[in-house]
Amino acid sequence: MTALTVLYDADCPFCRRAKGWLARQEQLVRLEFVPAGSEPARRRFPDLDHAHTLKVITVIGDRGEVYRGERAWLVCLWALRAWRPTANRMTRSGHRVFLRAATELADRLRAMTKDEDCGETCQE
Amino acid sequence: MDALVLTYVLYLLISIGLTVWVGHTLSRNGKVFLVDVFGGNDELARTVNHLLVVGFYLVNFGFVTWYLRTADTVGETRQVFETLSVKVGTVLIVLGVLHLGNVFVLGRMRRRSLHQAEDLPPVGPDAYTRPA
Repeated sequence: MTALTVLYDADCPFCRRAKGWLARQEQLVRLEFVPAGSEPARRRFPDLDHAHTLKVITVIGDRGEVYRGERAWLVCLWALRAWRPTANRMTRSGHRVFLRAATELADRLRAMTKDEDCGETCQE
Repeated sequence: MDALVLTYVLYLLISIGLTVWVGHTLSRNGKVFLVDVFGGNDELARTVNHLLVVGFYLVNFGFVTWYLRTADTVGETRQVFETLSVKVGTVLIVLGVLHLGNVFVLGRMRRRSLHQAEDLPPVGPDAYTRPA
């Protein structure tokens, strides 16, 4: 695995903050960020259900592996040098509950911040 | 040779002997760890191992030498044993702490290199798609 494409919600302030944070971390696997449902995303993955990627965070591996929701977050953490041991630990059954809680929290934050009507003023 | 000098001689023989033995253990077994951490690069492993061992000997011989002198009165045989027990005991504890510290550091180096060598994520994908 040399690169991961992260399809993120460009209209959501929290998602953009998260994307910024991920982009700044030291990466063991290159993370490429493409807005979900955009033209570049459709061109890269013509067979993908792009409407769904706007509802659930989706990360795609360089061989076409599709990771959604919980797994998407896990794979993003796995790609970061500082977070890889944690990501590996979280896949063990006892720790999955943390991952689910974190994913729920992310979804909640996304829903909350999206309620603000941004429009043009929200561009970073 | 009076009792005090005998104590010093015994202290040095025992402490130096133990230090050399622990150092040899570290050198021989640490190399296996390092070869693994450096992905089979034997020359690099040997070099780093040698540097670590030199550092180990410097610190330990330094401590053994520095810790030699005693203010105890050593006249009878009993006092020889008692003074030796404190001196050798302390040296053993210091050796033990340094040795375990080394083992811990080597283990951490290896764990980090294992994590970084992973090619695939720890979970399988939910689906597949064809990249353009």
